[in-house]
Amino acid sequence: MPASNRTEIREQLLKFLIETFPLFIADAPDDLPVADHGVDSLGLTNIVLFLEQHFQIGIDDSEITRANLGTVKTLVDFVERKINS
Amino acid sequence: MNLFDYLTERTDPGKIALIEEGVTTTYGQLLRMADEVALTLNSDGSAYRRTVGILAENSAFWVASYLGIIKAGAVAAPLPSRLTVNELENYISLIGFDTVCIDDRLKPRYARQITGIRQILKSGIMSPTSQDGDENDVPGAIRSEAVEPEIDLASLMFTSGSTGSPNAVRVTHRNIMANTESIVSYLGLKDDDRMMAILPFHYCFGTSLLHTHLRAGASLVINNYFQYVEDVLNEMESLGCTGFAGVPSTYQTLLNNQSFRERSFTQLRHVQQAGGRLPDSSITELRKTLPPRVRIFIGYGQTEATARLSCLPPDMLGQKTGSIGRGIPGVRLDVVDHEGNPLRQGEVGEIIAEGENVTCGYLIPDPVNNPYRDGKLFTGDLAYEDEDGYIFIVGRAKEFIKPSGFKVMTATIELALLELPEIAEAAVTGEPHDQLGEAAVAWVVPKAGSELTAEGVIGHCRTKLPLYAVPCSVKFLDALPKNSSGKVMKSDLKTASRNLNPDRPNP
Repeated sequence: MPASNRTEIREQLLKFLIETFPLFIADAPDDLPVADHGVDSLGLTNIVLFLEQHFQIGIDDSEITRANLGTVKTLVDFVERKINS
Repeated sequence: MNLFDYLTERTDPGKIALIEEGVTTTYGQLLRMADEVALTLNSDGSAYRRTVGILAENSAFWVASYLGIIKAGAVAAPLPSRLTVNELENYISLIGFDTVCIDDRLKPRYARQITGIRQILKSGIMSPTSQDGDENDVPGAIRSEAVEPEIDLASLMFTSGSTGSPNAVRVTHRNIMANTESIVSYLGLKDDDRMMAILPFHYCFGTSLLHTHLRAGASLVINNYFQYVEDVLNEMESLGCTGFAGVPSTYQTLLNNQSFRERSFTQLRHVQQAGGRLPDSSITELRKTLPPRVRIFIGYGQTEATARLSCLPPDMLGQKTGSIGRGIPGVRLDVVDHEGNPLRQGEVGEIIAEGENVTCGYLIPDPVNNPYRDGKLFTGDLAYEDEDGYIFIVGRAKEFIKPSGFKVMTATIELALLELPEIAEAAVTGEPHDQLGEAAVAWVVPKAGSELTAEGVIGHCRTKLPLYAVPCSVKFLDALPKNSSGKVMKSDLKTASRNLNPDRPNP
């Protein structure tokens, strides 16, 4: 079920990241770059697809930036902004 | 001449060398940091010929470490930056280095592996004093170590090799100078060029970008986050990049990105593609997408050849799509049969290379599968030359099987198969066999309309190959499974067997 608040967004995102990326460090701070969790180009594509499907948001190619998708924190911010827009 | 002096010969201390996350490093600052590395390394006078690891992502620190190591006459061993601890242990035991230049950020992850290894830290080299420096502190005040450029190694470049276990290629000062000179000349690089460097510097294609742009006195923008394509594209435009370089997957990613297609790239002069085959359709699409003034250089190379071996001139791209071009200046390429004899136009054989960029061998010699023979590099790539001398690669060949305990390169068998005019494509794999231990299996794509049978193929091989190397079975396919780079995926051949051509008997 799509999330309605920040905490739920974060929980659902983390669940996906931990299940999808074997190198994901579950207890790392939210501002660690996802690249440091082993997210490469293909991984980032997976994240974008997950966000689009799970949170029912549209993501444009021009939104694929570190400012939006760089860390768990920016990802949560981004999804929250999208859901509320 | 030390490679350091060659690479920095034309640099202007006040000019920008690197831009990383918005921070610029001038040549003056870069060379001063390199001096600090060289001084630290040589504090006890023992740097010459000592192997020094580099463990960092692309950065000013990486470049300063690399240049400093080379200046001190030591041997740089750039390690892949996202290694697991087990992989790092393997690399350390392979090379046995006792000093490493390491980004402090990576220290906690590798704490156990680097215990007992002397560490030159980023925080020590990138100190404010080294970056600001004194006006009178002229870079180059420390003299570079005298080396024998043809003999002394500048670097050990890692390669996974044909067997998958890591090995390193021994690269001399001269190898790098020769390849750099050649690439700078055919690209026509000048000091106002600026490369968007997304390829890691520990990979020979990435290192070649560094070498060539330093030599030209040009600059590089370092971006280690190509997955964020939009950021890379924005930086290319805002920082006025004149060059870009990538492997096939880089261009596949860009061509699938709408934002890439909408850019004008007003400063861009050239793009380079190497590191595997970009499908012809993607090359054509890239040509249509980029502004016509942007020259597209398709190249081919190997770590064993320092980096680059061939290049397709941009003005031939339309006419010779799919070709790797011809040998770059100073490199001679030939296509030969399995006995090393030159072949005629159109005949498929192995590419061999000669030139000063051909390196002197592996760190761990591989006598069974040695690509260095008679001063030439046997690339293991199968190709043919067309009527104008342009080379087209048809497959990768550096793999072997062991029938009856003999090591046989699958390429040898594939070349023998391809001598049959009815065969369009061929691949050979091994499978367990009661008598032989392992036996060759031939996967064959016949030309349209041919009447080829398995017996015919095996009969032909009996006249060309030792008995143990003759395939025990022949399987006909409509096409060989290939990955997006156009490389034959031998691991997928078993799946492909489900789609065997039903009109042919398969023994």
